[in-house]
Amino acid sequence: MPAMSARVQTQFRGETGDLAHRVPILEKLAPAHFEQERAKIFRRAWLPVAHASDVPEPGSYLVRNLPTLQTSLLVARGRDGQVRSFHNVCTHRGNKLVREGHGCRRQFSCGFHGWTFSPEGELLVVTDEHQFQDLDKASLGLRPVHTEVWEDLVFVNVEPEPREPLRAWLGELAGDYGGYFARHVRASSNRVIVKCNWNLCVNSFTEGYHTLYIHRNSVPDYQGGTINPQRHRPLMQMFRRHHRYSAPANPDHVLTPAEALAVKYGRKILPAFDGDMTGMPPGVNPARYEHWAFDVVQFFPNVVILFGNHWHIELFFWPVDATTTEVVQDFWFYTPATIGERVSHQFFLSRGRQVFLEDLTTLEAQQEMLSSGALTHPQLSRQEMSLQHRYKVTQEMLAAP
Amino acid sequence: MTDVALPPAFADLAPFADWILPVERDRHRKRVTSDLATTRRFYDAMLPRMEAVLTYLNGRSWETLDAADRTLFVLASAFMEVSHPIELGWKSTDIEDAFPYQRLEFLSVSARTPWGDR
Repeated sequence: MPAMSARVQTQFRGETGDLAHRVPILEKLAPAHFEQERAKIFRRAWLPVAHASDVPEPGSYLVRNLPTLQTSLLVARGRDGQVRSFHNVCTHRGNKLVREGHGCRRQFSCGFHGWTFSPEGELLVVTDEHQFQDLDKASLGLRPVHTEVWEDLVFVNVEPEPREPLRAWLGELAGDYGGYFARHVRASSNRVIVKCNWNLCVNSFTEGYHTLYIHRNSVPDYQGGTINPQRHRPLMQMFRRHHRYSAPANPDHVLTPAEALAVKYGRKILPAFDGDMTGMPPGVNPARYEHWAFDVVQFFPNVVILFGNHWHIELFFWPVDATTTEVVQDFWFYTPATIGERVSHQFFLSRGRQVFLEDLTTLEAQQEMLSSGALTHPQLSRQEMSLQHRYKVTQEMLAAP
Repeated sequence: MTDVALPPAFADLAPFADWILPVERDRHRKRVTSDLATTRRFYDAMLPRMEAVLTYLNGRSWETLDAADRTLFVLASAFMEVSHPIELGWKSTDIEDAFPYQRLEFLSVSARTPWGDR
């Protein structure tokens, strides 16, 4: 049994000297502040909205309604294989071109007057065309949004000209995950609308301090253990915009009967952890920590991805307004080869969903009480440094002209 | 209960027909709206059978699974769903102060995964 002196000390990497451990929270919850965030963060950022594998074939498309950007996007793969995004608007009278969902089409026809567009966005057909005067069809294609694919993630940027390309935006993360996303397929997806500011929502998923308490009933002994009783993160990295930390596994976790079956007939998925790094890209468990559980990576501003072995979870936080956030959680698991693995998935899926639901339980309560003004400057621990970093990056973007 | 089609070796699980819920959302809702005693009866009946169930299902192919085999797969999936409150010693089938299950919307993944909605 390791001595108590073996307790894990977090290794902090990156610029941490200029972080503030007290956050003036009240002003960040105001509607006017959110409008600043919308204009200077969301309208300037590269934002992941889909996976390229969601639109696998020429003509494949999906609709992404994004109230944060006050638009709906049509993401489509063209006949040339390229993934593009467009404002989902017919260029005739502004009708929403495709109402909902996803599928595969050779062309998109507006239900209003029948104008028809290609998956590459060209205007193909204007019905009763000779009744229009001075119609320049070449300029009436779908309105494009800058779109780039990184690994399997489709990012969009709604600025007329993005300030930097996607790879520069991703910075230190850009080269770290080669081939990772191709390991998994989407196993389940769910969505919740919470009456809570989006910053508070992101914050609840980007620190590990809470796990001993909020998750005490659902995942009591998966992290930490006697070698790390306070579950200190072994590694936290502050990048220019994003951040990453590794979570510590408890090597003495005791399997329950159903979990023992899930592990025997399948592979370990959150909340169980497999630390085998064979073939894993360098961004996963970057310190190659021995008792690694998974990594939490915040893709600034509003996406958090939990990177595991055999699984990952994607969390999207889309503010609707200052006090309303859409939270989408996608579970991605290894492709099951046997029916036993499919049953095993169900153990980890239902447990992971429970953990997610617990993370949601404090959001509206925090919103309610912080709005009271009774607590104006919450103090953050070193284990919550990712939040401190996030607020710093936010301030930098808001201060930009 | 004779109308519940299960593989003959697992006919003893027919009394638990109300747990035959093919979709993840329905299994979750069934769990959190069932009382602990009812849930425990299902868990206690399934646990000693699970090794046999999984061995049997692993001998089958997903693509050619018949209706009885699929029902057995769904029951095994429901067992995994109910295992949490039983094995973790909760006082009810959901945690105290849980986020309301009704507000969790399950999105379709059918077009994007090899196995369809679950």
